[in-house]
This record gives sequence, structure tokens and C-alpha cells, in this order.
Amino acid sequence: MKNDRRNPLLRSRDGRALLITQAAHALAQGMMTVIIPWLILEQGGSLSQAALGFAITFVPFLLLAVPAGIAGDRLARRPMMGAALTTGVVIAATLALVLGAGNPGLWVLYAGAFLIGAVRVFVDAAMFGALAVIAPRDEIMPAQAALAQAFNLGYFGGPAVAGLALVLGAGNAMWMVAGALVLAAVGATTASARLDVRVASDAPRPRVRRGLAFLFLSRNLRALTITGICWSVASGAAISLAVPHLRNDLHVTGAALAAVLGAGVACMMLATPIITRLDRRHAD
Amino acid sequence: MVLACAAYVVPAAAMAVIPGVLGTALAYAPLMLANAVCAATLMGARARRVPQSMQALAGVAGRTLVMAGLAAGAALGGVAADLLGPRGAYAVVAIVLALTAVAARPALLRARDRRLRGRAIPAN
Repeated sequence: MKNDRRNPLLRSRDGRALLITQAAHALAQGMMTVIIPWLILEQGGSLSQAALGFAITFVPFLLLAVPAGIAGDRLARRPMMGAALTTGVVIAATLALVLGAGNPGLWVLYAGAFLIGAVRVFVDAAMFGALAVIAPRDEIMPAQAALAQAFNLGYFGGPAVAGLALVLGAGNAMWMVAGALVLAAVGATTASARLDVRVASDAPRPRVRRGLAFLFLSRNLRALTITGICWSVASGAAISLAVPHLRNDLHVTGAALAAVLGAGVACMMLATPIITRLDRRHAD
Repeated sequence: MVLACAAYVVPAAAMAVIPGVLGTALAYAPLMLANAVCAATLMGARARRVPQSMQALAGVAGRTLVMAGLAAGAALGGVAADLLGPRGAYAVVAIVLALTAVAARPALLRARDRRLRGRAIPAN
């Protein structure tokens, strides 16, 4: 196996199961970023109400990140992923049934967006914990890159799939979200019990009340965290400005706009081979 | 990580100055690639420095901060675009990323992973 140059996640059944779970779950989450705002607008909601429907999927991260993270470190990851994804299937199916029966109120859509967002926090936590078990320490960088690529594929492909699915009707689009979550749950169940390895009882355990503060305590982590925050602020601006710049300044619309955005997503898929090569030659 | 941030500066600056649709498209694709490289490098580097017992918490906590940063960046980008136009805002993004790479270099070089391989630094 030492001569196997494939990505560490592609080498094992568990790694492949994680990639399938990640891509299918990200597809469902990516679809929700379009379906909920779309339905809000269709029911006569304002642009700000539609934006709130998008933003509300991120609120669970602020509320649940710490308990979910601790659960991802202390609990068995397969059952955790399975429970979170099954809950997601139930939520998506319930929304699909409600949408099939008629127009639900905005609060139902907000609640659905929040709950599906909460599913993501727990799936992500279990995924981070499982990755650390599967990938050797010195190969965690390319493994993380592959997992992020699977996420990008699903999350950025999701809106396109949702756009097609909405042509079939809102209820059917939600059934497709439920189907993607079922696929993710099946992927998780195909992994072995290795994912469920518990942390040794004498290992350091964080306390909930310390929250996110531990990311700033050591000099090494503080440097990475502050750099990450600066990068994410700049990145948020760069990504959000792309469509206004293309549309308003360069008058790019329709298929040309989709082609430019699609080329960007396609280019993102090169990240894993680049990181793998760089990681073999340079320090991170 | 420093390299990824520095590499991000080039397409961001290109978005600020290149005219025409084709040029912008050619700058936008590497911008998204640099974005993916930065994100994955950040997560991988953090995972190497965190004990096994805190991997999930560190991952989700880091993602929460990044998501908050993305939301704040989108809001600030909108304000910058109102004041300077989208090209001016992209110039500001390039400057911020260049400053980030320069400012973070000493601290990140001290934290480089060669000597860390196979073990983790305690989180406190």
C-alpha cells in the first residue's frame, strides 16, 4: 500500500463511503439554498425574506457547533451520521408532503431551512471526527482536500440541480432533497466500524463552556485561525461580488453567466491534485 | 497556507483590472481554485495541529468562524462595491489578502508542519 499514490480516501472502503456521503449530503444542502428562497418568493415574500431563508440555514452553526463538535469527538460517528441524515430525510419528506398539499406559511419554510441546517452541523462534526480516524496524520491534508472537493461538487452543483427540479414542482424538488439525504445515509452505513473508534479516556477533553476559544489558545492554532478569518472575509467579498460585477459591469447574463460560474466550479476541482502535490514537497 | 493566500492575490487583482468578459472569466476560474486551495489547506493544517480527541470540535468550530467570515465579507464587499464599484472592491480584496499573507507569514512559518508530522500540538 505504501506505493499507492491515490488519495488516502480513495484507497479504503471507508474513505470512499465518506466521499459519497459528503457529496450526496452537500447536494441536498446546496439544493436547499435555492429551493427555500425560491419558494418564499413564489409565495409573495420579499427579497429580504428570501435572503433570510438562505441565511437561516447557517444559524444552527452558531448555536450548535460546540455541542455537535464534542458529540463528533465522543460518540460513534456512523450512528451519529445515520441519525442526523435520517432526521434530515424525515424533515425533507415532511416539507415535500406539506408543499404537495398547498402553500405552507413562511414560518414553515424558515423552520425547514433551520432544521436542515442543523442536520448539516452534526453531519459535518461526525465527518471531521471520522476523517481523523481514517486518514493517517501525515496524509490528512490531501484527505481533507478530497473531502472538501466532494463537498464543493455537491454544494455548488446543488443549485443547478434544484433549478431543474423546481421545474417539476416544489414538492418534487423537496423529494429530490430527501433522496439525496437517503443516498448520503446509505453511504454512511457502508462504512466499517473503524469510524466509530472512541477517543482514549485519558485524552484531553474540551468543555462546552470554553466554546470556540480553544482555537485561539495556542500560538500555532491562533495563527491559523486569524489567518483563516482574514481569508474568509476577503473570500466572502470576492465570491459575492462576482455576479454583480459580471451582470452590471460586463452585462453578462443567462447562459454566458452560467458558463463563467460553471468554469469557476470546474476549476475548483483541481484543488485536490494541487494540494496533494504541494503537500509532498512543502510544509503547510 | 501563505502560498495559497498569496496565490489568491493574483486573480483578485486581475478581477479588478482586466477588461472584458473573457478576461474576467479567465480570472474568475483561478479565483475559485485559489479559494478551494485556501479552504482545504486551512482545514488540513488545523487538523494536523489538534489532538485526536478534539478533531470534530476543531473542524466544526473552524467552519463556524469561516462561515461567519464569509457572511461578514459578503456584507463588507457590498459596502465596498457601493463606494468603489466592484472593480475597486476587488482591488481592496487583493490588498487585504496580500497583507494577510505578509502578516501571517512569520507566525505560520513558526507553525509549519515538518516537525509536527505524526503528532499534534496540544490545544492549550
